[in-house]
Amino acid sequence: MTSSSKPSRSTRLAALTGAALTLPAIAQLAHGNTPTAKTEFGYRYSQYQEDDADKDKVFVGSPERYEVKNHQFRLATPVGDDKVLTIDADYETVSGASAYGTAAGPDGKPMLIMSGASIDDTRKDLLASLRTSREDGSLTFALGYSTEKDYEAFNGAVAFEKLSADRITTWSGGVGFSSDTIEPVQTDGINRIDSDDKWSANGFLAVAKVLSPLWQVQGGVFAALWDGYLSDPYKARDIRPDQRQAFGFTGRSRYYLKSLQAALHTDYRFYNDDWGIESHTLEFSWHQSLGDHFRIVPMVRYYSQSQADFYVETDSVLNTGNQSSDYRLSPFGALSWGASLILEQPDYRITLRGEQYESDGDLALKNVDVENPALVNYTLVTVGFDYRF
Amino acid sequence: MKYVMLILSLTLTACSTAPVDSWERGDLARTAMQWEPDPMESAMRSHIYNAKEAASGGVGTGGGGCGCY
Amino acid sequence: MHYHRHSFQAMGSPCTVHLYADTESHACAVAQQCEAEVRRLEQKYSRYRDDSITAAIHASAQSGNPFPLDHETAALLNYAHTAWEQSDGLFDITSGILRRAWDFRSGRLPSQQQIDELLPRIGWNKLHIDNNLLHFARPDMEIDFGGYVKEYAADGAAAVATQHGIQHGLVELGGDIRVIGPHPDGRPWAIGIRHPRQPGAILATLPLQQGALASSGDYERCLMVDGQRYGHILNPRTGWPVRGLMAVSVVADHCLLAGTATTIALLKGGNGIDWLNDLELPWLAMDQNGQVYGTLTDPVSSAHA
Repeated sequence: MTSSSKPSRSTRLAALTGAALTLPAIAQLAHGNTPTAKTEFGYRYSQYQEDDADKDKVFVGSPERYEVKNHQFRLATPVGDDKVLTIDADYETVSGASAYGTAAGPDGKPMLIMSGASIDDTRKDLLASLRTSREDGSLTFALGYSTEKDYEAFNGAVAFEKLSADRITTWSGGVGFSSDTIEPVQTDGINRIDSDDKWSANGFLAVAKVLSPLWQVQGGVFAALWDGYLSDPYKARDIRPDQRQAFGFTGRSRYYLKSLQAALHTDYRFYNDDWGIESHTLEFSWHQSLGDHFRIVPMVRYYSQSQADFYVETDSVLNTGNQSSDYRLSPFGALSWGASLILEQPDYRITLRGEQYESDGDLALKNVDVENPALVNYTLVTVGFDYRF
Repeated sequence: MKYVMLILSLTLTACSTAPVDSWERGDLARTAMQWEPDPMESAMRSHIYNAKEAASGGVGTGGGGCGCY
Repeated sequence: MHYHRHSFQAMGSPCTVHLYADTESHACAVAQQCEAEVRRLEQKYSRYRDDSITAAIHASAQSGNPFPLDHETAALLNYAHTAWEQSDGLFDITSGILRRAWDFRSGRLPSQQQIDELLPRIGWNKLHIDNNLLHFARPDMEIDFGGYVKEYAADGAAAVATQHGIQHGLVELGGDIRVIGPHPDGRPWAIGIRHPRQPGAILATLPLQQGALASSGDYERCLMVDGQRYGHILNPRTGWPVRGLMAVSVVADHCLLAGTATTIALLKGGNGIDWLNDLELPWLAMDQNGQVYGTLTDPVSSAHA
């Protein structure tokens, strides 16, 4: 046995690297006093169209449902050496009708009562975030404001990213806060509240690892808390608890298949809250390069949720306590599929995307006896343009 | 809380890997390999899913007041 | 985005800067700045110019006065000291004086007596730096930055390009390469490692996204006497060429590191491969029998490119 004092392998490289880093040019490159990145401008136009409600399931009102036109704008611009300011602005118009209640139909199955008047609303949303990057991570502060005819929300968030020295592990986390006020546009026969508010807070913590030159994975946990008026004031009878707590976890994987020039994305989310809802979301997408400039990205997403403890199939004045017949609290599953086509050039990008979403009681993981009649199917089409200058 | 411990311990212990050096990261740096290759698309989609489904949230979401349609 | 290629001759080698920029004029202006940085370092550290730091240091040594160091030169000497330590004394920037005995253009070997007269004037440990002052133990010693300033210049030119907002490009100084950033679409640069014995042939092709690649070998300058090959890598202790690897390429974060790693691998002679394995950087080497070793991309499968 020899106890040679030969320096261990990494110490040789570490010693040379340490000495090299005292040289001005190398220090500059290593510390990524990089590049004032460029200013990026992005625009997306999305059209969201819900299929009409099934006529057989509409008791009162028109079966026509929502149509949404959404304009998204994003401007990201470097500020100083290490900061990027991003402004997101959304402008959205909503028209159509929504269900305001569920009643038992002639055969005892629940049927929808659609809101008579067509809804026309505009949502404007502004979010500013400032991200400060360092060699080993970043810190982001965000502030946002959102308004509709009947709704107003302020929100803020702080998030961080921290890379390990070998850049294999990335920790990230954040907290967010939102304060919302609703002033329902009064509808004959409902008029349950004039104005009310709620606040919510959420947080997450995640760790990502580079497993190989072709594979990285991330695991994370998140939690959220809502407090205040959480009911739907447009529904004839909708009484929900004034608190809700949720937690969940996520797992994500990005794997590059070199021979196919394609990246496989796998995203899973588990969600659970104290209203009794548990859900699973699983999404796969395949990012296929076609030549140097095109990518085609087919995706499929599966979602399933259990019902809230206080979910009721039909509204009834005989019910007391918490109750809601909102389809979002009903048990169901959903499948969506779609594809994007992306043209990528050094200074601009064009994106076309379509997605079809279908929800159904039969798609739920657990057996659903009575499906909510308001479950939606929709089509989402987006065209986008990004420009770097 | 049980879930929390489970997922963190899985990610921390399951992968003790050889370092991947900067010159080997070409494929990881591709747009197609990012967690969210198109943040505007991600924002739009989660906005809609959050409005139609009971579950919301996840990793990397910040802020976001939502009036639901 | 405009691709611009700028070639020039500096440090005794052909140099090329490849850049992508928004406009042709921006690319061209930045390429000029890169060339200016290489020329600045060439002038500052040249052993051939009277106005270089090297000349001033030698004059100072002869006069017996300590030499005051600027930040960059002190950092370069500190790096040389680290390389000397880590190579167990083989990487020695005081050994350039052996060039007085070895004239690779003459076709003649030096006599052992010529070499023996020079050996006492070699030894990094015979000089020391104190409070940014360089002291020589003997007035007839010299230092030579030529063994690593070209690689440092590649890093320097890349830093200049980065400062000017360039994110995609590559600097090549006489076969040593520093990547500024990949092609605009994210593709790596395809870099050919040339075959040390077959002119124009490629030993391997390496995709390089970031970082640097340096290559060195006895093909660069050598003497052939009686069928025996004498390479330009000289052992500072014996004064004679090292017999070991024929050619070495190393990938590292910085061209300076890659270059030092290749130089020491050659200096290590028969232990060159152990040195490369110890460093844990990707490498490719060919020994005197033409046998190829290394951890870089499989040379056989990529040789077609």
